Amino acid sequence: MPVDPTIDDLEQVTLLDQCARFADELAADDGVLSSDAAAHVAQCLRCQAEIANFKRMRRMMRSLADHDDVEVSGLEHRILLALDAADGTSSARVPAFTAATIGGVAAAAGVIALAIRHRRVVRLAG
Amino acid sequence: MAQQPRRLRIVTDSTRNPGRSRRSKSSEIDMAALVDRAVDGEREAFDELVRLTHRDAFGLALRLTGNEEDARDVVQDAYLRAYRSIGRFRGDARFSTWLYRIVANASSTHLTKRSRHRHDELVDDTQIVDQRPDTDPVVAAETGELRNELDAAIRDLPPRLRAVVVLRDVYDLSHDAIADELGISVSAAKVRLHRARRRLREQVFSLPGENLTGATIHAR
Repeated sequence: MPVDPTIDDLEQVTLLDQCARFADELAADDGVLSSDAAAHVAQCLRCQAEIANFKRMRRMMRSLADHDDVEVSGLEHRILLALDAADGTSSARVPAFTAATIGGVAAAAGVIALAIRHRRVVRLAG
Repeated sequence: MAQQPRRLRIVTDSTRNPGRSRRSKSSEIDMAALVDRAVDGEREAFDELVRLTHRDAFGLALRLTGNEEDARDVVQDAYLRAYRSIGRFRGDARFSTWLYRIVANASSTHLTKRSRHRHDELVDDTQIVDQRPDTDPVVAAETGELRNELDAAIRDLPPRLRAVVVLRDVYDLSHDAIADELGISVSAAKVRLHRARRRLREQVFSLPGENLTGATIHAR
């Protein structure tokens, strides 16, 4: 913990040394302080403020994920495709647009083939 | 892999993300039923779990990797791992907690691989935008601003400190689970956690008269 250079009182500097000594305990999350640390905190406004700030910070951190608004477009589909691939069932999830395109191309090819055949028949008949 | 802009936004309206701790009792039961069916090998149930949880999983991966494309890779990998091992899920933890552990492990693996292949400094200069002020604009603005500051400070932490504090304080994983998934001892996890919290506290909730330390200035 940084020592405030404006503090020149030896007693207060000693107190700040103790703050540094107990810094890890104050940052721990079980809320249980050793007797030395508790005795220090009872007489140290700085450490009391430190504990209050840690509590406030942890409360805010717990709420962080609830306030996320993440952009996940396409992620679900990507995961499901990866699962399909792992399952060996990748053909099962052909997107509708792809299926429609393939169907359309196949139908058009059929129509063209029929037309060519019809022209041949007409030519042979003629 | 090219750096993609990060798109993690913080909103002040909690209804935007109902998927986490505010999940209702009935949806918890639905979730448990889905998990049971998935454990029994029903693929459709697992797909539904993906639909319900992928946003949260991505949020965690984004926080751990700091990069959208990496986060997508991590989430995909995590669900593959989850799918392969769902039969061993015993239900003594919530599915979301189990999934967070897998995401944490997949992120750790991914970051380790990435650090072997990449030597350039990762820079993330995307602004986090608070889009929805609450009904009290002053309180909402202050809280939103502080939350944004905190989120930015978390992003500025070194990855090894960031992972521990995110998993513990944002996603509520136990010290044991964090140590397991990151491949470190419990005491090392605690040391990193305390160090991370102190840095964040110094940066975001500074005490009166407190000067910035060298480490804090560097972290900024």
